[in-house]
Amino acid sequence: MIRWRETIFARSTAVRLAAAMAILFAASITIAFLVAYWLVAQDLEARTRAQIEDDARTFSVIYENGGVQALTAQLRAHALSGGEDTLYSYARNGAAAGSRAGVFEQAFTGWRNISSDDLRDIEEDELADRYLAFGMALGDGTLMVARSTDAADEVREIMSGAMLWGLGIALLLVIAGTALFARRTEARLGGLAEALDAVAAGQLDRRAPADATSDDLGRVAGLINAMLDRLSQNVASLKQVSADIAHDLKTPIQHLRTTLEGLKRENDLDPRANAVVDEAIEQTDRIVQTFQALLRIAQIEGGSPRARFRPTDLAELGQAIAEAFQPAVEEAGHRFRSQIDDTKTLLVQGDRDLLAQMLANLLTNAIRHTPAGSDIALSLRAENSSAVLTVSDTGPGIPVEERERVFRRLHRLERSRTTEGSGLGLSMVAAVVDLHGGEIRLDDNAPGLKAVVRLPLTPG
Amino acid sequence: MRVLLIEDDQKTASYVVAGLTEEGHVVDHLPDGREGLIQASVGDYDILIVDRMLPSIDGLSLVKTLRGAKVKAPVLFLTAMDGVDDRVEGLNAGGDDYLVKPFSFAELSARINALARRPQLRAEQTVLKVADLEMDLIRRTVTRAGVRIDLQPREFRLLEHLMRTAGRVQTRTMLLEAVWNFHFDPQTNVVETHISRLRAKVDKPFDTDLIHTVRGAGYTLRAS
Repeated sequence: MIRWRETIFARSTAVRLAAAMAILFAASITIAFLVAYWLVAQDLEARTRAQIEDDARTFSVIYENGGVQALTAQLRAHALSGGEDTLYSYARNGAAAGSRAGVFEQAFTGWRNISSDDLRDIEEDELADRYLAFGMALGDGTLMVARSTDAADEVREIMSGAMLWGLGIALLLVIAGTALFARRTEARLGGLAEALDAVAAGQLDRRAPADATSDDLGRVAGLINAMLDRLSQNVASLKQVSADIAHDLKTPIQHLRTTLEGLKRENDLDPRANAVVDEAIEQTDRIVQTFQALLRIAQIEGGSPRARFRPTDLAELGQAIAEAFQPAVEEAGHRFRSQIDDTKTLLVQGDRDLLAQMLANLLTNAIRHTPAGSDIALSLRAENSSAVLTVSDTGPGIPVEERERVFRRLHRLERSRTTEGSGLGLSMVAAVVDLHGGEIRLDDNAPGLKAVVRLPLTPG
Repeated sequence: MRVLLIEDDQKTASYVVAGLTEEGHVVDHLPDGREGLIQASVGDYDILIVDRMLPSIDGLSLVKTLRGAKVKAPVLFLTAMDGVDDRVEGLNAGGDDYLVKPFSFAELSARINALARRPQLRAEQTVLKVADLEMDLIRRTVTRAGVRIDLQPREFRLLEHLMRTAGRVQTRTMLLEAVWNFHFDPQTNVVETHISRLRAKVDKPFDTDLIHTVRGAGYTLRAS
C-alpha cells in the first residue's frame, strides 16, 4: 500500500501547489458552467410557460364569449394547424375534445411536467418526448394546454456536452501545465536540496546550481550560495585559527617538554627531582590533551569529517573495543560484560576512528566514575532502523537534573573534581553522535548510569 | 642511518638532531621547505622527518612533490595539528607515519626505527621465532620451550606484532595503532593491561623474561 508520506504530493511543495491549482481551476470552471446552464434552463422554461399561459388565456376568453361550442371549434382548428409540439384538450364529463396528436390520460389543474407516457397517442409516433402541461378549470370542464420541452432539453443536452468537453480539455491543459511547472520548480528545488545535502555532508565547496532567473527561487538560490560562501569562509578561518593556535601554543609546549626531557637526560637527577620532572612532563601532556580535545570537538561539530564517512560495522568495532577494554576494566576492579553479536554486521555510515573514540570515552567514564566492584556492560543491538549501543554501569549514576549538563564542555560533577579527566569526554561523545545523525540519552540504570546511543543504520 | 630533518623551529630541531646523533644516526637539518625539497631529492637518505608547516613550501606539498619524483625514502611527518582530518591528509600525501607535537624523543626514536626497517619485514614468513618462543602464523599456535601457550585472538596479534618488531621499542601509541587500529588516546591503560596479561602467559611460567618495559618509552620483545 502506498502511504501518503511516500507520495510525490507529500514530498513536493510544487506538485502539491500544482495539484491544488488544478482542483481549484476545475472547480471554478464547473461552477461557471453550472450557473450558465441553470440560467439558460430557467429562461427556456420561462418562455414555454409564457406561451402556455398565453394560449390558456386566449382559450378562456373564447369560452367566456362563445361557450363550449366555440371553444371546441377553436381547439379543433388549432389542433389541425398545430403539430405534436403543442397539445390542447378540453375534457368535460369524460368527453374530450383535443388536439390532433394526443389526449391527456388524466385531466389535472396547475403545472406539471409530463412525458409521452401520460398521453394517449392518437396518431402513432407523433408525440414529443416531454411536455410542460398546464390545466385549469373552465366552466364544468378542464382546459389542458401542453407544449413540448424537447427543444429546450436538446439545448440543455448540447450545453452539458459542451460543458463536459470544455471541462475535460481545460483540465488536461491545467494538469499538463501545472505538471510542467511543478517539474521545473521541483528540479530547481531539487538542485538546491542536493547542494545543501552535500554541504551538510561536509563538502563545503558545493553550491546551488547557478540560476539566471531573478524570481523568488532564483533569489533564494543566490542567498543560499552567499550564505554558503560565508560559511566556508568561517570554517576556513576557524581552521586557520585552530592551526595557528595549535602551532603557536604547541611550539612553546614542545620547547617546555624538550627542556624537561633534556633536564632528565643530561643531568643525573636524584629520584625526588626526577619524579618532579616526570610530573611536570605529565602535566604538559595534560594541557595538550585538553586543548587537543577542544580543537577536535570544534572540528567534529563543524561537520568536515562527514566527507570521509564510509560504511562501518558497529558489531566489529564494538567487539574490538570490548576486547581492548576488558582487561583494563577488570584491572580497575570491575566486572565487565559485553553483549555483542559480531556474527551479524550492523553497518552505519561513519568514521571508524571517531566512533571508536566515542565508545572508548563512554567506557573510560564508566571505569573512572564507579567504585571498584561495579558491573560495567557494553551492548549492541539493532532496533528498527537504528543501531543501539548501550554502556551501563552500577555506579552512583548522575542526578536527573545534571544529565543534560554533563555534555557541556569542561563540565564536571561536583564529586568528580578530584578524579582524573578533562571534562571533555562526554562533549566529544555528544559531538560524534551528532555528527553521525544519532542521538544519546543518559538513563537511570537503577542503580547506576546507562548511556544509550542510537545511530541510523545504513539502509539495505 | 642517514636522516634528513626538515623543521623550521630551531629549538625542536636541535633537540632532535642531538638525540638522533647520540643514538648513532647521521642527521642533516634544513629549516626551509624549498631547500629541504632539493636536499631530499639529491641526497640518499634512509628516512625523512618533515614538519608540516614550513616556510616557502609546506610539508604536504613537499612530500607530494618528492613522491612524484619517485623518492621512496620513508617520511615521518611532525605536526602541531592533530585534527580529525590531518593524519589522513598526511598519509594521503605520501607520508608513512605521523607524529603530533609535542612529542617525546622516545616516541620519535621508536617510530623512526620502525619506519626505517619496514622494507626488511618479510611478510611471507609463516613461523616467527625469538629465543625459545615460537609462533606459527598458519596454525595460530604459540609455544615457548616446547610448551604450548593459549592466547586470546587480540593477545595473539599483540605478541605477533612484538615478535615481528623484536629488538625495537614499541611505544604505547604505536601498539594502539598497529594492534587495535586506534588512532586516539583511550585515556585508559588498555595497552598496559594487555601487556601484563600477555606477560602472565608468556613470561611468568618461564625463567627469563622476553617482554621488557623501556622506561619512559614503551615495550620491546627481545631475548635478553
